[in-house]
Amino acid sequence: MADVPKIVAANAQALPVAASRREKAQEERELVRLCQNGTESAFEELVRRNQQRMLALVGGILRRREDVEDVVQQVFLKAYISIRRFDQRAAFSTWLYKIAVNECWDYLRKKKVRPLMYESDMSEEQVSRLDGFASADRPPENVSERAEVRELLEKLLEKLPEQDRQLLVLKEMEGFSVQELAEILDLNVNTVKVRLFRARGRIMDMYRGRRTQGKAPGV
Amino acid sequence: MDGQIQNFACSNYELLLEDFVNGELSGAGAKSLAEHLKDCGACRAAFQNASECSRLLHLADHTPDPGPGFARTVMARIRTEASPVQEKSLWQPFVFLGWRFAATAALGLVALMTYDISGHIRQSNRQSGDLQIEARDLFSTDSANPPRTQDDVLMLVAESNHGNQ
Repeated sequence: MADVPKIVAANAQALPVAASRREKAQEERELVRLCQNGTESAFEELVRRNQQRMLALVGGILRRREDVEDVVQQVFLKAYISIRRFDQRAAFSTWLYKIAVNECWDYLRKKKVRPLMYESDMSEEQVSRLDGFASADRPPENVSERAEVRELLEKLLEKLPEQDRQLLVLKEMEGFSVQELAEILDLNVNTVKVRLFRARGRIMDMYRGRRTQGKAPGV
Repeated sequence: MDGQIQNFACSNYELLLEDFVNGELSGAGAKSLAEHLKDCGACRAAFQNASECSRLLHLADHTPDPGPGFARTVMARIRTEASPVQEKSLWQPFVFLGWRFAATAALGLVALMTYDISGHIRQSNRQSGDLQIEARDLFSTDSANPPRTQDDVLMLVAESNHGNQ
């Protein structure tokens, strides 16, 4: 990082808390420009800023944890190779997300696999565990419980059509905005909103259905 | 029946309901939705459903940041697998061919020059050898009968046809 221009080094420290969205976007543009001029460390900074969301995005589509990191690395490699062609009309992150989505489809096509499917429906015990977490109305503090909640929710979401599942995971679990989802998945903003709303209804119906089934006498 | 009602909100209010769930509705939209929710049980139930779903899914953690080690791994992979910030240009194969052609031409030129120079050297060596021989022939004398007078010398030169024999 020694050759990172002052702007990058200074911003890397000041950014996390204070900088506004516009400032961040401006810095990202500057980093891209530096990278296009051959400053390798500027690209490393771009990777650092986007790696978490990239892992979330690719993880939300593939769900095969063992492959996610590899695919994300591949996405960054592709972005690096073609960054000179990037004209900055869209945000760098949006451009990167699109590369990631294409890479995910390519990966799934090459491997000839469907995104990971959970074998069975949620058991009664799992439904009541999820109920317990939901009634607490805040994420569990324990690491293993947090992992369990995530797994239970992913199992619940498994029942949805693939695109609805992705929308819900990325919106609610990973914090992507509706606008971002529309850009990433090449959908109209209103279409994303309606899909999200309907998917929420569907998933809650299933969840309630499993709960009543579990509680019904003799089941 | 309840489940059916929950599935179907009024289609012209779905967008507003989604914005409301996300906390992004204000002004006239919020007022209009509030009025509608007073009268529409299906939309109320759908809104409640959506809000509960949002709360439930928020129980899950975001994917954690993998830390600076990940960026370093990515950069290491880039250094191994990609040329330094240069994508392959359209002209690159032609440039490569051009360089190859230039190198071959330069080699050929050097070979030709070497051949030419060595030919010259050989020729000049031969010529100087011939001259020496001719000079020797011109002034070679019969060691048994060396010319004694000036006339003998002139006769000798004349006999050897002024060295052109």
